[in-house]
Amino acid sequence: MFITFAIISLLIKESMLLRIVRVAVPSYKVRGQPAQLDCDYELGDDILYSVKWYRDNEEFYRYMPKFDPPKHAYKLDGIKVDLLKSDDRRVILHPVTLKSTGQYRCEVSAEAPSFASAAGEGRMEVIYLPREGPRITGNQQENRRGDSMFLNCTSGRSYPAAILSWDIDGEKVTDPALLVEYPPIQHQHGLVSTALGLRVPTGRTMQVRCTARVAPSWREGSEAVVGNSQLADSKEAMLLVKNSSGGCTLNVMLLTLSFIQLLSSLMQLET
Amino acid sequence: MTQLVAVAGEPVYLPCDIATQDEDDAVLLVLWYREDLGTPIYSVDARERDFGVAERWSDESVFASRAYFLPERRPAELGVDRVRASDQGIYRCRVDFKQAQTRNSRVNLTVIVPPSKMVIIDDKGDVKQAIVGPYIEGDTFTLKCDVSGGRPRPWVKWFRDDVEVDTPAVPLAGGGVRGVLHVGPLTRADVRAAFTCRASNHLRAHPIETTLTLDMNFPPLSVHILGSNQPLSASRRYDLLCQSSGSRPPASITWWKNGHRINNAKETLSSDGNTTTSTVSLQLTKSDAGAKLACRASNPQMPSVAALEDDWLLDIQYVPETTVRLGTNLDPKNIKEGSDVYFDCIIKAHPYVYKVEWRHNGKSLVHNVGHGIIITNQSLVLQGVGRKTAGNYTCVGFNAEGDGESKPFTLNVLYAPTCRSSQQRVHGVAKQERAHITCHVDANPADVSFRWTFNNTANSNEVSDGYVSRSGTSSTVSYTPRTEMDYGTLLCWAHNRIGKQRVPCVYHIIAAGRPDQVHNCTVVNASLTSFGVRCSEGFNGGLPQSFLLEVREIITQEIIANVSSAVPRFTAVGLEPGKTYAAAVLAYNAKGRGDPYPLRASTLRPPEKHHVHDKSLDLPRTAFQISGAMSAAVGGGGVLMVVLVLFMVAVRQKCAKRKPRSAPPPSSQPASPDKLREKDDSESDDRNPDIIPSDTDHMQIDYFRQQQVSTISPPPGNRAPRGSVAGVRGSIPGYCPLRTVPPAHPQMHDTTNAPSSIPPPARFASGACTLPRGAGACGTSGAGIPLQHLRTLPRPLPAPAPAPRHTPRDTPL
Repeated sequence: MFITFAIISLLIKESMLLRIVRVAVPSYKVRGQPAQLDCDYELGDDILYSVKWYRDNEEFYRYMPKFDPPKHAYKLDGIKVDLLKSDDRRVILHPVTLKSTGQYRCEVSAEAPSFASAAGEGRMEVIYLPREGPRITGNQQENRRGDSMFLNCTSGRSYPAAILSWDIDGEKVTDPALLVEYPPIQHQHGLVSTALGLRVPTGRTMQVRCTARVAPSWREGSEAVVGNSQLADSKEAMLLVKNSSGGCTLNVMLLTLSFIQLLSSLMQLET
Repeated sequence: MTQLVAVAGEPVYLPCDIATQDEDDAVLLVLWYREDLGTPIYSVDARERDFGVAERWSDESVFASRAYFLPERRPAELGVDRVRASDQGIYRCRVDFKQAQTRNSRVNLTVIVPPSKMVIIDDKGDVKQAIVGPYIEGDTFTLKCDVSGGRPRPWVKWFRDDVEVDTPAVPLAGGGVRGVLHVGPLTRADVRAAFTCRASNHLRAHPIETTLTLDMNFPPLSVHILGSNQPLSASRRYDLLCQSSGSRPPASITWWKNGHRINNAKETLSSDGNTTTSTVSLQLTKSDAGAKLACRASNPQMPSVAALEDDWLLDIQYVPETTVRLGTNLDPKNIKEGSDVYFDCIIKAHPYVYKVEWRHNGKSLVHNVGHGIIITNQSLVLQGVGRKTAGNYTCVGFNAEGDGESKPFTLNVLYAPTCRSSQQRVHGVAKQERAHITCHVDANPADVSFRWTFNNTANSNEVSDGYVSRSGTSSTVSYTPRTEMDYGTLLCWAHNRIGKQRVPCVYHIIAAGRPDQVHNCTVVNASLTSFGVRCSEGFNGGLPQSFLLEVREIITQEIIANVSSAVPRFTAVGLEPGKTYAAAVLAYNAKGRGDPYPLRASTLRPPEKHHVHDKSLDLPRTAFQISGAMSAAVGGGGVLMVVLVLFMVAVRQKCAKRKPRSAPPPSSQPASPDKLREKDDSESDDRNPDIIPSDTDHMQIDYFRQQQVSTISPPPGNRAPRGSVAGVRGSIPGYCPLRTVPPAHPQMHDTTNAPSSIPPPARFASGACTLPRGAGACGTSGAGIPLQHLRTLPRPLPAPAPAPRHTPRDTPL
């Protein structure tokens, strides 16, 4: 009899507990867009005391029914809350900036006496796609020597940083002896550009291509990446290298330039 | 996140910053969460009241009453008492402000739970708690210290005497740890080592530890009999000590003599417990010489270890044991007078004797060839033994232990009978009277037979055995003379198996009669009320005689005293002082009385009646009467005076030697009386006031003594010599009182001695009266002075004058 009662009461208590049903935080947002963070919960038998939103453990929004007004936002760098559109179950950030990136957590607390709390969280990354394609620059001095040619490829500004890769005649260069890495270059507003050097072996004519990819594909478990082409970006530059025993680089350069011009209709080629 | 470490049981303080940034702001709510729980475990609700009286709540299933919020601290803290292992976890403190952002802070609380149990196990698997062992030297052993409980897993360390030992620690299944300590091989120095196992899991957590003390057993290292190998005396009790050290537990010591256990030993232990001393009290005998005395020490806990032993071959010294052995070719039962005898002294002694002594009847014998005593080495030769040589012979051996005297050997010397001396040789027998004449002989053996013969002028006859009886070495003849012819000589002959008596014993049978008169009577020891008389006895008339002294009052002839005696020596007592009596001594036997010997004797005068002219003479007497106790002092004074007198006499002696026999100068006279007086006072009761010139000559002293005896009594003024009627053989010469003419002595000496040095006998012959009064004073005396009277006079008077060196101490008063 007593045991039965205990089990029932446990079940009842179980059912009365405050719980978070879902916390939805967009994994990626392109800079300047609005972002909606959802916090779905069940109060059970409890009365709501507070809903608090934290970014990286710092409160930026709260909803407390007993307060007047119940909604209150705190000013954080990169956080701009749309109070009108936000309520006890969601908060709207508009616009997101690169500094809005972070861990977002929703904590729901019941009123006294239990003050039971439940929380859920998610991470949001804010990205900036490059407006320019990668640029290839060459080193004339080395050409004159005649043994090899050295090329640099520099990406456009983006966040996160673009990843560069070289292709020679459609084959990806993986030999680290041919690649020269550089530290990323920081720009205003947190944007980053990257560069990658390539030693081009001489003695034959070849097609050289530099590809710059900006995509949060390195992030795992983010369903937002999949299928959202808006968040992926890939741009490339191409160059034809012609080998001549006499070694007329100018010809080569001209050929290259023209070749790029021809092939890269999508890209802006800068000389 | 704040990291906090607390030891279980202690309080812990979880920080939570509740400070406000703004003056206007206020804390509304403080909530403490534990990460694994949805609901807070502690809350402070100040939303509708002041923070100071905020409602506090603590989850009963977590901290309950152990938790208390401390808002006044900076930062504020949640105190939790008696932290439990289950309190470990991550705690979050959420502070809701009225205005400011909610503040969340997290604390990672780690609770240290000290190890709970430690068990130390030895090689046998036994649990050890305080003592490990006992082990023996060379042992190795392992101790395992198993520690269980505790979070995190504790470390275990072994320490030896507080120094850490590098030991491996192995984790055990079930969360415990085992520290393994290997010890050994053990030496003696390891005993009482302290091994400590200590376990802990945090610096702040109190370690648990167990210390074991190493117990070890050691066999004894040494055993010694103290003072061994020195010689011991037999028949003396010795307390012998044996010490053993190095045993643990203390050694047990046993004593053995020739393999036999000695049981009366007592053991004592030194204060450090290292040395055991066993004392055994032994009385050794000669037979123990060469015996092996052994002391064995063993550890009772180590029976398998052989005992240590110290040996002592006993060297026993004893008093010489001696035996007298008669020469082998001699028959001790048949040693005749005149033969040679020799003895050997058989000696057992250690150390050997340094001297051998022979004793005869307890008196030591000296080598003397002339007396036939020859002592060489251990033998004694007696040449020509006689009956005096017979007796007990012992020999005595001397060594450092003492002198051992043998049992006596009784030397029996056989000889033919001889007549015993000092037996009555003359028998006075009346006619028809039966006399018993006994013949005593000495003989060895005493088995003798007798033969008697009678000789007179006419013939010699054998005495018939019918009159003879024998008793041992004596034979008695009953003899009755019937005619004149029966008086004569009886001869007694004895013989034994050694031989015949060479010279017979001779007994004269004479006709018995009254005893002869005594002679040489003198008066001695006169005192106020008594005097003594001594005489020489005369022939007893052939029969045993006795003697009689009769004392009569002179005038009345009344018998005052009647003394009889077996010998002619008497003392008459109960007489009046200062009186002269007539005395007579006579002998008597069965045949009648002998002639009396008359003499006059006087008692001393009492002192009061003395005419003392020199007062000083009385002083000592008075002083003497005042107190008997002063006698000692007077005596002491007397001694002083003796010394003084001796000194002066010595001085005078020199003078006397210079001019002997000459009259001393008158000037020397006054000193004399004093000296005399002093002597008298101190050494006798003699109150003789007479001043007598002194002389150093002893003869002179004797003379004065005699004078005092014989001249004291006459009363003053009675200068006339007294006639005597008592004398048997004639008149007794008159007495000449010296003291009536004190100054006369020099003159007397002058007159008597000046002509020549008369030989003493001549002087005596001239009469006693020549002494006091000068030549003419005692004219009545003559040559008829009886012998006994002469004896009372001094013999020589070689020199007059000087004071006597000392007064007659022997004066019989």
